Amino acid sequence: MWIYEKKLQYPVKIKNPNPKLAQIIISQIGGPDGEIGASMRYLHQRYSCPYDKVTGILTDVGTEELAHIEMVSAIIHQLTRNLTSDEIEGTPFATYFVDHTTGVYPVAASGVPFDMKYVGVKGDILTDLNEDLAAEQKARTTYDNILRLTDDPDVRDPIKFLREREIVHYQRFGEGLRIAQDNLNSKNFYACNPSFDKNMPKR
Amino acid sequence: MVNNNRSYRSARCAASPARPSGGNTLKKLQAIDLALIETALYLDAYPDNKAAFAYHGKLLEEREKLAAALAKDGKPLTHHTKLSQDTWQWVKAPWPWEFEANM
Repeated sequence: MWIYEKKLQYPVKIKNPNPKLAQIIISQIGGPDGEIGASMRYLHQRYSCPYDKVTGILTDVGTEELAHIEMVSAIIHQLTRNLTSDEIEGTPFATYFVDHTTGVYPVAASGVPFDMKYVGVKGDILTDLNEDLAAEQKARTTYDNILRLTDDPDVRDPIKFLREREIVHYQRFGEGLRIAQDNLNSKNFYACNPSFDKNMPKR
Repeated sequence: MVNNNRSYRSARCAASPARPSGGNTLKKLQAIDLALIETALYLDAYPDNKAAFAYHGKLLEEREKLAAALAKDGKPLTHHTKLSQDTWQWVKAPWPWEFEANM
């Protein structure tokens, strides 16, 4: 189960509101490669994981991604403080504002709400880990794009932290993949699905 | 792509961040918790690594002191934190996502 710790994983301290930037960054909450998708993906994949070490990695990275949802939400919350209607009217943020005011609602920058269709849980650990490697790279690219769109150091700082974490997670899933392969027939990794097929060595 | 030693070293680097965290207890706690999660992720893959395990223990000791200091200051981290006053401090502002909580 989860305990909530009343702190952010890394500080978010944004002095200057900027709703146009918020409307872009919100993709890392509700977008196809955002943190909600990441946490749902890893936390759900772990139920069919046949190897303890990999289950540990999926649980721990999935939990960290929940903390990242909170960090990006903090960024959005602080970017949309004390707004005047001038700062909203005629900007892309206006279409978000009309439905959500300055609440934090998980959508992509395109306005499409978060969708579990972005998440793959295939019940085959090799497949799932390959999905995870790709997911971390897609998240990293999205953070790269956000960094291309702002030079506010208060925003860049937590974004760079989150981007680094994606790269670290990629390494961890790479190790998970190697651990899974070490447990399988080196002549044919795909001979069977260890989560399903009988008479497969588990753990 | 996969390199055992580098991942362990990154955990140790996280404990000594390049940017000083200043005198702020919360920032120090955030730094040490980052080192802790890095070490935990490493140990997930290498649970028998004695050096990493010992390092994790050392970090936990440091962490307890920082968490206790925050608790004494009326800032409980979880429902399991012993409270420093006769009042449910858990619901006291500011909340972690607010600017004021990150100063």
